[in-house]
Amino acid sequence: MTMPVTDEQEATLHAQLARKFDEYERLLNSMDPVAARTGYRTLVSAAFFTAAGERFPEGSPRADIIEYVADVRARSDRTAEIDPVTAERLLLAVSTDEEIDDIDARISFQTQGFLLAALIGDASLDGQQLDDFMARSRRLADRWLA
Amino acid sequence: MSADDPRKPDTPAPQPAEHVQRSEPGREQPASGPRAEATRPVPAEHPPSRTEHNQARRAEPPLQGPGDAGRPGNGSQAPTDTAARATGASAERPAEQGNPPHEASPGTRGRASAEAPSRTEHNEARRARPPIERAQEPAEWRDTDSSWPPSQADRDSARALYREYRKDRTTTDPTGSGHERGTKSVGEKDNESPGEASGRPPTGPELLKAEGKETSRGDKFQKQVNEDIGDVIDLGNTGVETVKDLMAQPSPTGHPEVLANSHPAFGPETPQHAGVDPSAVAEMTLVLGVIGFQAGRWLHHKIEKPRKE
Repeated sequence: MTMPVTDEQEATLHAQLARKFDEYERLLNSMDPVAARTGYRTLVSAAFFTAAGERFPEGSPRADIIEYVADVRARSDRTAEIDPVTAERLLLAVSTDEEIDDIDARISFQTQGFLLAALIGDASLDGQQLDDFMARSRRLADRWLA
Repeated sequence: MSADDPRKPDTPAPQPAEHVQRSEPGREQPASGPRAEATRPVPAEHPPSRTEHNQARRAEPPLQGPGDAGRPGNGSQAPTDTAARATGASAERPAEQGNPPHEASPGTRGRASAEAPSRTEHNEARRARPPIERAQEPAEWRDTDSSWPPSQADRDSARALYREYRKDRTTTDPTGSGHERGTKSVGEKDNESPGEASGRPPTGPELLKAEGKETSRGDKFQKQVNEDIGDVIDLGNTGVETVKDLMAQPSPTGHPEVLANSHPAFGPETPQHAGVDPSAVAEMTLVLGVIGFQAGRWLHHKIEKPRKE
């Protein structure tokens, strides 16, 4: 049985999504790298799955996803390096039967992290809403890890 | 009372049990003497006194419950004896007086307990009785129609007739409520029968199915999580700047933001342009001039008036 998501891992992602980037980097670098391979990674994926499902529920037009990815990539030079096809496929995989088996796991994880930041940044959640979102994401991650 | 009194019978008339019970031996007889003579004779239908009634009631056996049969001190013998004592005289006396003795029937309060069935016995006997049999239904009442369900053609023709009828109702009777006009209610379409549930919210099984679909979509990500991607912390550090760019509050771009009125109004609720309106300045100047002129006149009038006086 795999270890569930720890409080430190949740606090790290919470700091990032709350725009506390100094705290985020400090927590990230103090994290157990072995535990992060499963717990933190699963938590990021579960948070992306939750946020994308709320932003693009089932039946959302594909054009909306394409437009959103274009908007995300247009925000800066660094964000322009996000692979649009991977980003669109990851978002489509949440709301449709799009398969993502052939996507490289490393690129997939990184893109999910970027899209998660964009989705939460656009949602402008307050403290309580962010706490609720983190709690839902952690529950899903723990279910995946169980 | 004289001997010729027609009310006095020569032979004692048969009397009911209550009356006989009152005249049993040992019981107090009416006193004789002038006072007794003055007293009116007790009629044969004279009801028992309260004392007699209570004595007779105490002598009756108590009702037997399901658990009373074997209870010590509450056996059937003692009440029977008591009942016999209480009713024995009255049961024998009518026979002597030509009255047939009453047979102890079930339900009679003074019955012998040996003859009366207990409540349990009564219930068992009632259950053992066969149920009431109904007369057989006549053959013509039985449903021997083998034409059900109707064929598909019949159903199609019935639906077509219904649609035609509904069309007529819709076109010929434009008044009335929607139901009368054949208008579809929520969730129903024109080419569907009234009971069609396709436009309704999902049922429980459909919700479960949808949840299963979501679970399977989550499985795609769960499967990918299990693949090895190396150092996650290093990946997180390299993307911090990108994340900062993505989470930065987006500055307003494109067209300037214009406030819209929340409801219809005669004039603009909010100014649609920035700056000072020249017409408003001119209007304000005119108003201030008039007010100043009037104030000056009033002040002048106040000063000049005392001076003239």
